[in-house]
Amino acid sequence: MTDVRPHQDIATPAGDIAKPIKSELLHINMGPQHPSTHGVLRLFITTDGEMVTKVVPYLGYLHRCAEKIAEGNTYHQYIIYTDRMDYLAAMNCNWTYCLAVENTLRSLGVEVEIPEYAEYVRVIIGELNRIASHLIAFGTYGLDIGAMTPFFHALREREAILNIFEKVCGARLMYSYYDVGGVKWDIPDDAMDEIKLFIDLFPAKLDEYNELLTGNKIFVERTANVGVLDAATCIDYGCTGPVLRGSGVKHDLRKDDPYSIYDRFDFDIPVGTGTVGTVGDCWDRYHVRMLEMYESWRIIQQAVDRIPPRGEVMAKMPKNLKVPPGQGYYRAENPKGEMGFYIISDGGTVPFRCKTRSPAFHNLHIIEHVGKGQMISDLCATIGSLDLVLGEIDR
Amino acid sequence: MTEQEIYQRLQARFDDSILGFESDIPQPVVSCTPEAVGDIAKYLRDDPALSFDRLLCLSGVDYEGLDEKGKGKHREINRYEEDGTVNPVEDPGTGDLAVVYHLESFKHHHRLCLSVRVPRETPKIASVGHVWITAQYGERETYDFFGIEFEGNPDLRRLFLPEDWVGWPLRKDYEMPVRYNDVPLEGLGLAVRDEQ
Amino acid sequence: MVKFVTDIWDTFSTVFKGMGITARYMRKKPVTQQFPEERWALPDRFRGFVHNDVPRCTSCTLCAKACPVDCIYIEMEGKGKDRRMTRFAIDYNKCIWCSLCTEPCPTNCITMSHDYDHSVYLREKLVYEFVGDPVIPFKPKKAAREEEAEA
Repeated sequence: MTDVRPHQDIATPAGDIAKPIKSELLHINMGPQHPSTHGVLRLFITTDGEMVTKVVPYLGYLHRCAEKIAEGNTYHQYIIYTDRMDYLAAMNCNWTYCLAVENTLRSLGVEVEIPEYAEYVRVIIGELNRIASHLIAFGTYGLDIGAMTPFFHALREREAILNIFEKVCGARLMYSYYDVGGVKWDIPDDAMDEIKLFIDLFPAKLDEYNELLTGNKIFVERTANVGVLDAATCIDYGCTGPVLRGSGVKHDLRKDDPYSIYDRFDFDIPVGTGTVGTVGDCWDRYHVRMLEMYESWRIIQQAVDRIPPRGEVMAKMPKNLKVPPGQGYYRAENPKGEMGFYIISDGGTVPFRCKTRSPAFHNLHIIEHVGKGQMISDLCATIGSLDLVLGEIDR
Repeated sequence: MTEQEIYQRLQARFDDSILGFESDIPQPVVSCTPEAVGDIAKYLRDDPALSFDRLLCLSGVDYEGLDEKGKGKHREINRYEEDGTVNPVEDPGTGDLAVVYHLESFKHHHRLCLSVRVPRETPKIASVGHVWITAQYGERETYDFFGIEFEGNPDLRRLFLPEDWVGWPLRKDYEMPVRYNDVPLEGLGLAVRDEQ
Repeated sequence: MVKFVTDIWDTFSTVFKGMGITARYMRKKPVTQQFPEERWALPDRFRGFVHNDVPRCTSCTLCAKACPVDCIYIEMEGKGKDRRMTRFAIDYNKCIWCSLCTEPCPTNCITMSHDYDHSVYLREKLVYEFVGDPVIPFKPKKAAREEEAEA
């Protein structure tokens, strides 16, 4: 397993100790049950001392072949399988899939008019889930780095969001709340009150998080100038979402290719600026998520202010949904990045092919590039900053 | 730039390799030959007027069971026996496999859908992994599920399934094997009364 | 040297800032619950174990068709007037609590209940049989007529 070679083509410390020493390459399995791999990701890493020289991800521990399942289930039934992709942002996955089916229908000449009220409900719930997903990213990132406290604070607020979801759709993790043509239920009054309460309380909590972790000197030392990704590499590796924005690229489908009713809201796209280190380091990616939570809060606030009186939640859809022959690739901005569905229909009730472009799958690929020449502890920090969800990578 | 203009540009440059253009559908599709896709990809990325710097989605498609109009047709598939032997049907299907690339340009904000059909018996296509690195994983995934070989991909292994898995699961004529490494793959049979 | 001192100052000040937040929360009530003793109120729409009200079931099998994981088993005997439902079982090993089965039900007899803690030691015990002896399927029109006659 090991091969001996002189210590030369990786970074060596300066001074007298820099002289070449005989070192052995060591192959280590990191995962699939490693606390910092966020699920069942297995990284096969080759190390030279504590420096990582090669990272090869091995996937498939959570593989369910959702794309094959899609070919055996109707368009409605497949919604529940999209829940299980990004289980931390199941609402957004539902939304993307429903959006893809609706857009495919529209492009093929079938009228799908989603009620105004349903659109607002979609935005409010989707943005709440974005906050919930980023809270987990923030909490577990602290955990990866070695800060235990932020995790509990993050989960407390996430719990508030999950309570809202439970009142809205009856589930806490696997919602299947969005439906092709709208949403399944309206937002009940008590849930709306809780959303308003959440809007009032959340900015103070966000400040608290920033005090707890963002400015913490130990945290900054662990994450600044670590895992630096430049914009060109990010684009080449197909990265999207906070990973791409952390590298300073202002790209957000909610602004660039507005879907649903996002063009009616006033919000900014935060990008990494390299405040404490280089543009595109782990801290930037982390900070983009923190700022995004604030932007989501702004969107929810505006949507709650403007939401029309309760009305229809579903467009008039046939009971047995049939999509005319055709195809289309449609995408939306998920918390992890750009999620897309490529649907080919053969005119039946079942998709002929339903390919998922999952953001974390493409974000994971860059670990092969950025993992080289890092310390193992820095690799943990980098994986955490990519915010991977294995349910979505393996599908 | 519209898809029509991109198609004309490509046709002027790659004459025979561009096979067709479907323009009357919402997301027009340019199709080309499997050998030329590497060069076409490089041109699409490097030409300043096109500069497709993002590969959004690389998907494999099995067109088996889809007629010319895009309508589905019923077809028999191979059946496996209890002991794992294949029970082939007379017409096992001859539909083409395809690889579909969805591209986007950050600079010009235009999109393109490039479709490449490969024959079912010898599914070989040039890799675009050197043009967009993200394609390397997409190609591995497509190889895993469809058995399409990408010539020039530096690391063409199965991505999700175990190395010794038999068959290409997302092909339409794929039938789930009864057991894998002596582990039964069929359902637990808990709710079936007859077995109790 | 200056950097060394400011670094130390930064470290201690930011760490103590975080400690301050923890200290503030020490005086507050806990937000957690002691689960088996304390239970939270379930919302109306809570999706617990699926329940089927057999006397009102028409055995139309719409729920079984709607189920994406095929966890509902309905078996019938006989034809016409002799039709009997011999089995209505739900395999909770497979059920994913999506509530798709409740939507097409014509009599609303299949519902999501508020039960959620049915732990068992054997997986076989999670297959719930709702029908013991064969039952005559519910006939909504006939029932309505009978109700009218009674009134």
